[in-house]
Amino acid sequence: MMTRCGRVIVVLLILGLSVSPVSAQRAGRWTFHPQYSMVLPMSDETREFVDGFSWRGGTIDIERGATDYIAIGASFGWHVLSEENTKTSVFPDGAISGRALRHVNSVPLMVTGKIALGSRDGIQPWFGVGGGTVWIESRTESGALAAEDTNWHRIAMGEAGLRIPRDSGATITLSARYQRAFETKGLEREYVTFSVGYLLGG
Amino acid sequence: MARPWWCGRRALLWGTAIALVAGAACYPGEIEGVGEVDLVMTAYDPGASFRSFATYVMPDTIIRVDAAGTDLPPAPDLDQQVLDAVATELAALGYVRLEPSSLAAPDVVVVLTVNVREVPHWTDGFWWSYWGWFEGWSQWSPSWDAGWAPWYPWAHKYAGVRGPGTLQITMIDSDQPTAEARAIPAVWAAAIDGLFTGAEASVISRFQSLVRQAFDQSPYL
Repeated sequence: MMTRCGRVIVVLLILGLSVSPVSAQRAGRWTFHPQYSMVLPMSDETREFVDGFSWRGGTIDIERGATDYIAIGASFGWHVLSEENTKTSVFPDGAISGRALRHVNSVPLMVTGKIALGSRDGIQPWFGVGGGTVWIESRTESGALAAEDTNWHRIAMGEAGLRIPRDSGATITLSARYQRAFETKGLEREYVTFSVGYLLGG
Repeated sequence: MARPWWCGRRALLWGTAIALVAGAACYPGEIEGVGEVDLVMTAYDPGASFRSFATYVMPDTIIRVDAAGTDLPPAPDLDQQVLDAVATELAALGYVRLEPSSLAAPDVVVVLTVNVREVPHWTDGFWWSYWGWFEGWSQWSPSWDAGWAPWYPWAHKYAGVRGPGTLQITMIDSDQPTAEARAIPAVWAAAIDGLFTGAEASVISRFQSLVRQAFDQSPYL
């Protein structure tokens, strides 16, 4: 049975492969794409640890145009969820309950593929997929006590976004990226980042 | 006149990008004061066979420990209520309590300790000076002596300092292989941070639910 994440990736691939190439020259060009990211926890397991919208995150994509409409590259980021709550933090060999600050620090490192639609002169939607590894720290702090659990997970992502060209030649981007860190030592994390970025070299 | 390299748009963008990513990992402000909230922490040895434990012994004392390891006068009425609450939770899990004078060795020994001063979590110092009197060690674990101390290798991810008045419940399995030489094999521990601070009425109003929480968040028991 295909997971929700798997279905998202397949849909994005079908969408991407069914479009016509754009006319602009992108093959062989490198792009650098820094983004400010906001983070929303998604799965019940993630939200049981820390819930609520986070304004703290950053993502950088570096890509090379494989064709005029497909780019292959790498992505890394630093995405933070944090909340003061009175929940129970469950770790592989223990638990902490009570009022505390709980954080998730996530650092994904992925290989990505993106496909853009439409003309480069106008607003261009794009879709992307990616996979790789992610370092995740789940941390609980209360007073002088701190407990943390850090693990490497496999990660998959699917995203959609818009490139918005400006008269100055710069390109602003808006995007949403779903990221799922698969189970390691009984722990999974799932969240969406909403990003505003600036595309250089595109 | 040409602008210096650090005034260019590209340099500004690089700087912004690096600042955004680097700043993302900051933590917000922390709670001030360890006694501000009740906190229940539990940890256990993943290698222990909790399902095989059926009997236990629990001394009828909660030891107060100061920084020098000397035991301090208890509060008998309050202590008895807390001990009863722990016994109730263990009984609910099916554990049968044996008397300390029992000739048959229990599967585990449960001891309760309160630190009077702030101490680092999971320290093993001074153990014998406040639990050495317990006759059970000589009956069931005659090799243990003053050089032995409990060992918590499975609890090291819980770092920091425990506040004064923290109740620790420790479960010891003398049959568990020792992780280190002269290490008393603790298999489970609960720390209720700052429980014994404040007025006795305050402790009485809080301890039942906090002790219950320690067991509720330890389903492997």
